[in-house]
Amino acid sequence: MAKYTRKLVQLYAALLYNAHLKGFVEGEIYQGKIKSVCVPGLNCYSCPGAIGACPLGALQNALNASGHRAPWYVLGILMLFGLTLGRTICGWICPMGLIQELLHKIPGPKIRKSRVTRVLSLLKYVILVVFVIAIPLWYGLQHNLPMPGFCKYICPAGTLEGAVGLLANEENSGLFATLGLYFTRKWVILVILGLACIFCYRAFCRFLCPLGALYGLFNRVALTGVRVEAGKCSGCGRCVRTCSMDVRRVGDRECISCGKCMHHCPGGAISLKCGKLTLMKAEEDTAERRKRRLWGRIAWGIAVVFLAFVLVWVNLPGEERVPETAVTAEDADPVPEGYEKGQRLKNFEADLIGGGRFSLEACRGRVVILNLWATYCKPCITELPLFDQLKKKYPDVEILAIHEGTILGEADVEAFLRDRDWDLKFTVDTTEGELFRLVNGSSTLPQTLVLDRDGKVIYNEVRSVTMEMLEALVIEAGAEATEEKILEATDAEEGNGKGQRLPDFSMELLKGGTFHLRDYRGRVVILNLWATYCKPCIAELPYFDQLKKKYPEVEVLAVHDGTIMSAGEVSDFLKEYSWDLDFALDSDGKVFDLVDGSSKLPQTLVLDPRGIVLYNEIRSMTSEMLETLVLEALGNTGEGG
Amino acid sequence: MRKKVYLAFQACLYGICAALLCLVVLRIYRDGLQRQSENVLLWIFTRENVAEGLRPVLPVLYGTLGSTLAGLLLNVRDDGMDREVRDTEIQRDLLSRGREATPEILRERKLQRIFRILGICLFLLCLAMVTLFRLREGGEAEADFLRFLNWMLPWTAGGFLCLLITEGLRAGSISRETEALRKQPRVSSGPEKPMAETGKGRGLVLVRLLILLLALCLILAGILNGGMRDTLMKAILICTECVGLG
Repeated sequence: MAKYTRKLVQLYAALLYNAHLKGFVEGEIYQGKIKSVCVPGLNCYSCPGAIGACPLGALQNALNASGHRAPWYVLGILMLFGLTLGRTICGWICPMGLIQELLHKIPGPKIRKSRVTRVLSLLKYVILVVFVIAIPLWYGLQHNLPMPGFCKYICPAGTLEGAVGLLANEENSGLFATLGLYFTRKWVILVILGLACIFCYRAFCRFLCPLGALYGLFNRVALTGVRVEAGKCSGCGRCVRTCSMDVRRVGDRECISCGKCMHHCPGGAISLKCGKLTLMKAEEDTAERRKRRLWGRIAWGIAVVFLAFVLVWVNLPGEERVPETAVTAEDADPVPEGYEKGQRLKNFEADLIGGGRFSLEACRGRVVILNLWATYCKPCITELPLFDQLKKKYPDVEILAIHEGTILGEADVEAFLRDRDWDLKFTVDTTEGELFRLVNGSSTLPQTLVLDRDGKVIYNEVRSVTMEMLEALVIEAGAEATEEKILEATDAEEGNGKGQRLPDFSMELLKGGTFHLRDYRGRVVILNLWATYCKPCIAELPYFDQLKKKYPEVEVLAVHDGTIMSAGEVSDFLKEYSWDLDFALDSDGKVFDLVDGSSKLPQTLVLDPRGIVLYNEIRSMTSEMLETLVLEALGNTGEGG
Repeated sequence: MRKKVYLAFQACLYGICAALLCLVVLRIYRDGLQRQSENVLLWIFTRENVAEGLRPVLPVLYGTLGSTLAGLLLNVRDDGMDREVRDTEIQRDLLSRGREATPEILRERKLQRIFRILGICLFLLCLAMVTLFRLREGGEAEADFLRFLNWMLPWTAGGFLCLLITEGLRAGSISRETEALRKQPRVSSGPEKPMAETGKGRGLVLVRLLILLLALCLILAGILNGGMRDTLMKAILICTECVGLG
């Protein structure tokens, strides 16, 4: 029995950490309050069974948020674990340790510890510093975005317990939509680490695990761990020579207190202790053994009762999620209500952040996009600007971003949005998740729904979207970004100032043909006033040419001052250059007057697709300036100047 | 001999399995990307294409499993695991007990200290280079991060390489010290100092108390400043990036 004590404790810990067994059946993760407490071992909190937070994930998350909140809580928890147990956690109560040890049981040639493995064991400290501390901290402070470097790029526990654990359930088939490069990369890492663990004892734990590195720092002061009785030690060194970890001394930073050395020590000098209390000892007299066995049984009894209690508690049937797909026979609408593709989404209303109310009913006849997001979901935040761009390009499309509402309130989300200039409608699902339930939302974010003009769902997936995807979806749903719509979208007054609509004009092009400004509604137009005798003008014309090549949809018209030179002279001048631009001569000065042009050259105007003046300045342009203006103009198609 | 052949065969089988599992996923990803370039709405991975991709791998997996079970039943294992490790550093530690340090030994120890400090300094210096990274103004966060990674990883790898090199030099010095120790007679016959980290006494108790107090204060401060709520928030929602979903 004593031989298997550690394995039993490891199994017990793995079961206790993942006591939410119904999560594996239902494909949902546990969402109870006790998840605010970290478990000591490495156990992904996105595992359907996990009932506690992963200390590493929590630490990265806390460091991410350190710009506005100090990570005291997680640091305190880690210190407490380190002080009480140190790396005993790795040896006894880490599920990943158990998995690695089981893999090492597979028959095969084994790589023993050496100086090379000892040096490699330093790698985990590098990973701790770089991936767990530096990356989340830098990304959080610099961009105020979550970036769990270790979880995202390395953690095999996340891939095995979280990704594979979730994907294995039929209910989560929709999650396949999210799989791409990250999954491929992490899968390869998982397989390589699994293979390494077969040949090398606890390969991940010894060389890569930053949690072990962190706890290792506490090993010297930890209350629990293997201790050597100085009087009994003969100094033979069998303890360290038989140990499979990269230890040089019993209880050093690499020691996981597995107790293997206890059985190898010829003098019986080693024991597992917690403070002064001896938990395990290889050699002891009968009376002592009997006493310890009794206490062991009592401890196991309490532990089993506790586990049973936790299992019952977290697996109690909760509030059942009723799918909103049921259709009554009396329903006159031939299209059933629901959130599935082809079904009509049930009407709902929601209070908007910053005032106002959203009603789905009122949006009938328009394409509607519903986006489920959260401030702490990085993919969500990354894709929100795309919705903003889409809204500008397709002003007719109604976009509502629904924030998950179980933890954060309106005030929190409003504070988050204060720094962001997104022209979208936001609401928080504070109605006990009613909105989320309506669209089959879950704890996996982001999720996007696209409804066509009839309110029918044409897309409902948990997946990060791209601009191309969104455009394809809104076009499929029937949205239009037509010239007429763009023109209708503004009632700005005419003029040449910023925010005014430039009056229509036409002029003969030097290459032949006529330029009508109104023909270019829906496209970005750049007017450049120049002259052959203006050095800065000639210097900047190549930038316009480059811009035209990069953005062929942008129209560039270079208007030459017509008071001195004739069309022939300008054409002759242009023969020396191969600029692919439209050139015209303002012989009667009408265009110069229209745009408030003068003898001060060069002057540049940028008109957005609605014909609104975005820029009108006498200034030499650089390619960067031009590109910035064009990008601004391309995004500036929404309502209002 | 037969055992060695079996173990080598097992190693090959597992190597092949791992390679196949990686290749299947990489192939699905490549094909999926191609499909997606034609229609952005298509999925790269689907339950069907994963099942289809894994089908040809299954016989190898079953074969490997069968071979493993046979090995476990027959208790075939690498005996090398039971043998004691022959490690110069551990041997040096053992030999140095009860032996006087000659000037040669002291010189080697000094060298080892220098190599260790040099290694750590070089590593930290390389890490410090990370601070030279400059962001582009108005750059996109994800692209910035990838640029940061591209900047940082070579420096980190370089730092680790420095550490490896200095550790190698230190290993040479340890070997020389071990040789020198072997020539020295054992003089001490008193009780041996155990091969263990032996923190003891009031100092340790004080440190433990301080850490405990600090930890409890930090937890309390964390609960008050909303850190606990942050942890809960992160833990109850699936972080698709964290688990590698995408």
